[in-house]
Amino acid sequence: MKKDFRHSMIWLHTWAGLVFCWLLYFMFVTGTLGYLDSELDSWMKPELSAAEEVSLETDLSAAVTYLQAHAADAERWFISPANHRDNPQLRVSWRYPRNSEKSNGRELINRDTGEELHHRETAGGQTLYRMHYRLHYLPSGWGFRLVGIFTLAMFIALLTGVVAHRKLFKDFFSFRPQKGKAAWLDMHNLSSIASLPFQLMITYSGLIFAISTWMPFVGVAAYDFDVKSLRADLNELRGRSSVKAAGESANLVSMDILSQNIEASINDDALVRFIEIKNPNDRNAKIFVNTHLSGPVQEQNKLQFDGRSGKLESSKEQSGALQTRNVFINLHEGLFAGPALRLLYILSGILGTLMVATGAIYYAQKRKRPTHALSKQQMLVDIVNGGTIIGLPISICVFMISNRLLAIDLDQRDDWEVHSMFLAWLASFVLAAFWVKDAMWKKLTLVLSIALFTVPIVNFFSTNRGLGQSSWQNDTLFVATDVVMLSMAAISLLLWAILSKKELRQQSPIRSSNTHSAAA
Amino acid sequence: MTIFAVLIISCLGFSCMAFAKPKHWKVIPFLSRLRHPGKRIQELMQYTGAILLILAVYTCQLNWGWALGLCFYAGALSIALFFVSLVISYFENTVKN
Amino acid sequence: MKKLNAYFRSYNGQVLLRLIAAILIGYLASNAIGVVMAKSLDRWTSLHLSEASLYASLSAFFIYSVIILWSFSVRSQKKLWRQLSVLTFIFAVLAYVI
Repeated sequence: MKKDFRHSMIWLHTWAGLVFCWLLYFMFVTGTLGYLDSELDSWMKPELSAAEEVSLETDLSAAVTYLQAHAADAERWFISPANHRDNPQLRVSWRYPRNSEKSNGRELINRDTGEELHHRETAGGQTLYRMHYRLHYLPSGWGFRLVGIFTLAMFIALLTGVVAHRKLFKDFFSFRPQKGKAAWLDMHNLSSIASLPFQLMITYSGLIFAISTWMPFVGVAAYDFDVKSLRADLNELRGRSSVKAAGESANLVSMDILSQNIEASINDDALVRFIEIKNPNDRNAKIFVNTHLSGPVQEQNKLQFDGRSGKLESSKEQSGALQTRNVFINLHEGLFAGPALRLLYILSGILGTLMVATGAIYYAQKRKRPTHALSKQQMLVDIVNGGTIIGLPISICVFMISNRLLAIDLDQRDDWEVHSMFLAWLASFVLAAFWVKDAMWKKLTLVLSIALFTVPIVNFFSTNRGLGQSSWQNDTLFVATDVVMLSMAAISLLLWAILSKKELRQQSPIRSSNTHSAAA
Repeated sequence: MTIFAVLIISCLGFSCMAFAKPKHWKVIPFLSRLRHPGKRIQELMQYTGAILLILAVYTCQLNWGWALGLCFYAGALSIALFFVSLVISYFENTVKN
Repeated sequence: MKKLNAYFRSYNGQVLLRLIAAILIGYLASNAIGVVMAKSLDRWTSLHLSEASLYASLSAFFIYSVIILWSFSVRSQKKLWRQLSVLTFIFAVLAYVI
């Protein structure tokens, strides 16, 4: 393309980055928040507090009693005992066959009374987390397909970025915040080099999710287009045996025997993640037990039990190829991460977000000339930059606030939470467009810090788990949320102060520093 | 707790590597009064930094095993590098002004 | 026709041509390479076909990315199209033959 390899790669890096940076920013922000999905879920259901962990048997019997009463004829039952950050409450769900008229359902169960737990209808952290791989407001499937393309662009941008900025690998400690435009470049380099292993891992494993949508041909053609046997072989590889219902009713094994058998066949430190009961109350009932991952590589986390006797049935060894794939997927999802590693995941995600944001800002700044007025294109880039980079966090704050302020009995309340988030995002684009000629960044940061401050305040007045009471009651989740929100608000206020100071300096009669940095 | 040890070790490792270069050495107010050591010592500091980083991965491996340890290591390295660079640049700017 | 010709000689047209080569032909090429990889892994190692094709699918996106990078690094447009189509053709034939 260009005169040598490196310049071609720089060209590709600029364009692949510029075209996709705002969507990648959205994916990075929502994906990073996805590492806190269960915490956000709990925050958005302030009526509920985490259930205390009792025995597996108590949870299973309470769940099965509930399911027998409400969905005895379902095809599958799923039970997640309350023993992990993923499931603060005992959760059940059930599914009917596709052609059935009855509808599937899911409930949180109070294990003492055996009744459903009531909570406000909310989109929760799961909706936010799902946006990072299937976007929103798109017909099903399309978001996923688009995200596959963005991920490929991200991977290309990463690889070309390594070539384009390779000089920086020799001395990666330099960050020159006083040097104007160079500061954005330095920050872009620093955040990407620091988190490069994470970025490569998260992007390539993201692509692995897209194999079935975008690269199905490799497997299909290797089987000479015999899709049926490909599917059968893949199912066998996954150890997914197809169990048909016999049609004769039979009693399900009692849960105390089952839980004893489960606990005998898993490691002492392993925890049950969820239990799937296929064809309950049938002669061919099967029980599948999934345990929580203890690390990215886990050879066996699925067990199969007979539904009538509760005996452990043969478990197959996983193949090498499937394990390789699973390692990528596990690394991406980070379900095995405890608090410390989860924090590292989040910090790496924030570095990735910084990388995308500073790259986008650097592109816009590099093309500005202090003596010229902004061209229309430059203004557009500025508006989209401001509206996305600051506007998205604002809209997520609004998402959290709307969870507290929308009327409890509103119809489709969960949808309205998401609508208000996107409306707020739209509003911040409008604000950015309104302010683009005059200190847009400064004003937007002020709005952001107000939005961040509002979250704990609204939480204080609308629930009985405000900062005072929650710290009194050792309510870690709510204290942590409030503290994080307040400190982020303080950080953005600090940013606002820095930007205001900078503006004052630029307006002062001595413009030497300004022209100096422009010349550099 | 081990994660803090790993973080500190990798911060030290990166600082060693950074201060092996006179450019970064000059920046720190206290160190800049000392004469910067010669080529030999500079190389030695580079190697010390590398050894410290290897020590960090060894600590991770001891505590968590390879699979989980490498995840911790990658995360800790990122944070340490980012932190050290920010600290150095902070000094760089306060000294110059 | 003349207009089209002039467009493809312009900067934008050159970029468009390269994009087509990288994204469309590169996609075909990476699929073909993936199939060859799956089939040859199945034939010359002890892996089962399902595992071999899973390994090939896992690396398919990497192959695709390398092809995209390569097609933006070659200087001459003609050379790119010639080499890329020969590569695709060879691997497509190989995928059919093995």
